[in-house]
Amino acid sequence: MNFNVVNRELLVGDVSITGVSSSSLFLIGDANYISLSSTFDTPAESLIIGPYVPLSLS
Amino acid sequence: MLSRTSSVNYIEINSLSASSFCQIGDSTEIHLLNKALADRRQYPFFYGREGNFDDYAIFNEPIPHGDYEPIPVQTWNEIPLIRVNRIDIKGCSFSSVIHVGSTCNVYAEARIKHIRELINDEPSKEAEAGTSSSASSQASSSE
Repeated sequence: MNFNVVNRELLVGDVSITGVSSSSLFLIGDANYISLSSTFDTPAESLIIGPYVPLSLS
Repeated sequence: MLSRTSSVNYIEINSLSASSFCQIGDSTEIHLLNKALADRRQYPFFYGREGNFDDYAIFNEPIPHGDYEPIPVQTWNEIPLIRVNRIDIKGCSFSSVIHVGSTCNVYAEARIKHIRELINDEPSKEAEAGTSSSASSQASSSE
């Protein structure tokens, strides 16, 4: 496979972003290899209804 | 190295937090790691040294990645310039990058665990039935 890329004029006006969050990338430029991963855990057992018990103390 | 020049006239960022950064200029390697244990409590009392990442599997389990297959790419930069007039970003957090310029390899990982703790101040159904739960009575007395 031969992959040819020709970059011609790239002109952007205004960019407005509210948030860049949880392993994300806002890039103005070139890159070779990008690997972004994010895990977010809120299972049912994360909602604890009961007496006040602190998390394990370190 | 890919060689295009990035040109930004005006950039405004409100906040950068939790393992994130803003890079102006080229870079080669970026590695970002972030672990967060977010606990929300109805009664906001926290010990300073609470919480242990090792107690939760999410902070240690491997994240599967797709296979990286390098493809031969031929790039011709006819106009080696990327122009942006204005960038306005409110916030950037949790292993994130705002990058003006070229880079080579980027690797980022964010692991977030959310816990919500609510106080049960109403007697449980078991308590109403007579088999009183000492846990719920303790919770209501502590309030």
